[in-house]
Amino acid sequence: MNISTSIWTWVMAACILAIFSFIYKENPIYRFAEHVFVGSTAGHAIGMAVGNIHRFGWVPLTTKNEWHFIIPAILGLMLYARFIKGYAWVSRWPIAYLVGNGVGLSLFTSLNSQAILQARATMMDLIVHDKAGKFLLNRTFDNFLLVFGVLIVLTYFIFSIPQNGPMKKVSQAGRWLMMLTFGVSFGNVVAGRISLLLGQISILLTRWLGVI
Amino acid sequence: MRREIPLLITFLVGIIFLFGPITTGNIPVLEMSFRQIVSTYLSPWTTIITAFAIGLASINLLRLHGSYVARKRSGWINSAALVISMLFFTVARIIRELRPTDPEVVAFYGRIFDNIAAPLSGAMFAILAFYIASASYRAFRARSLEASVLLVAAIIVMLGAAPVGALIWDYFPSLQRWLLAVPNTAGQRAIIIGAAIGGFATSLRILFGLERGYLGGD
Repeated sequence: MNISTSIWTWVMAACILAIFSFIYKENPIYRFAEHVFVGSTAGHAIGMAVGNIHRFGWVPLTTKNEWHFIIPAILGLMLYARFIKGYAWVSRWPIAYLVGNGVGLSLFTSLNSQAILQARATMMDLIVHDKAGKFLLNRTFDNFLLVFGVLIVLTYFIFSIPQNGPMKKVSQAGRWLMMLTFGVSFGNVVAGRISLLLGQISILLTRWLGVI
Repeated sequence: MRREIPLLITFLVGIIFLFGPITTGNIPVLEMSFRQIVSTYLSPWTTIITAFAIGLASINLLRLHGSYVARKRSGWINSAALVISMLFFTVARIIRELRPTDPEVVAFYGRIFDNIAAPLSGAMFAILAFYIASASYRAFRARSLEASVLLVAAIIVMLGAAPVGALIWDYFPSLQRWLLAVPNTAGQRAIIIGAAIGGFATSLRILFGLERGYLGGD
């Protein structure tokens, strides 16, 4: 055992243990650490934001005479009109700008990368042979499952046709496939969180206590 | 005026961002392409306006917790800790941003970030494993066929990802890989396509001013 003598390592261990104390039950130490977590994260984000204004706005404006950077500065300041009674509507202009930005970007990306490219990737050979012409049962089965899996899940989302008879059965199969997908996602999330937990425990055992 | 100008701004900015990646050639009067307008003007402007918006959020946080401290509401010490840590990290990060080549400043910020913010964040996300465990216990109690499918898939993925899975049954890792690559891809792909079509429709409604919820009330 080789316990660390660094004050910073002890601070780090205290932070981790304060958060982990929640595993026993909610307690004042956990709540304190939780608030410090929110404060430190917010402070980091604010500092980064100030840095961005300085780097992308102030420096080009003052050193390269790029006067157009006055526009986002004014729009940014207009956001704070929310705090002035009777002038809160002024803050709609920068919000409208940000919404327009998001909408314009998502119109192209949602259609291109999320709809067209995904649909194109689903258009695959249903019967698969290797280069020598030998039939590949596994790949064929996988491709059938992929293509019809996408179609049956999409059927579940068709609301413009009443889901009766065979349509109901197909959409029910789509529901099962979605449950399987959610199960896989859930399993991945749990595995990821457990690996984070092991990482934190490993930090305590190596950097703080020095037992590993 | 109070609603029309914001709608016009949304439309113009949206159209420019939309045309950026799909058009080539210059706009006649401006002698610039949409792509150039986006990269030279609009994208840096967005970074700056977003930065101002973060300031707005932080003022709200300060006002809320500042009032808890001022009124000595129950748990005000936690609010004070939040305000102090927020101010401390803000000042430290700003100095770090303004003096990026000063090794002492960089080292100090690295030390407080690596030993306070990062472990708090890492531990906070790590204990979510316990939240998820309790949530899954409640979810899996629903004894339907669909819940069973979810449960079996989740167990196979977890066992396949952990070394113990291969010790229990040799085929767990390959079964996990197949579940991820084939049925999961099919389900995810269909969900992504559905969400994209929904997102596209909503974006069009916003662009043409049919959806005005973001403007708030009068």
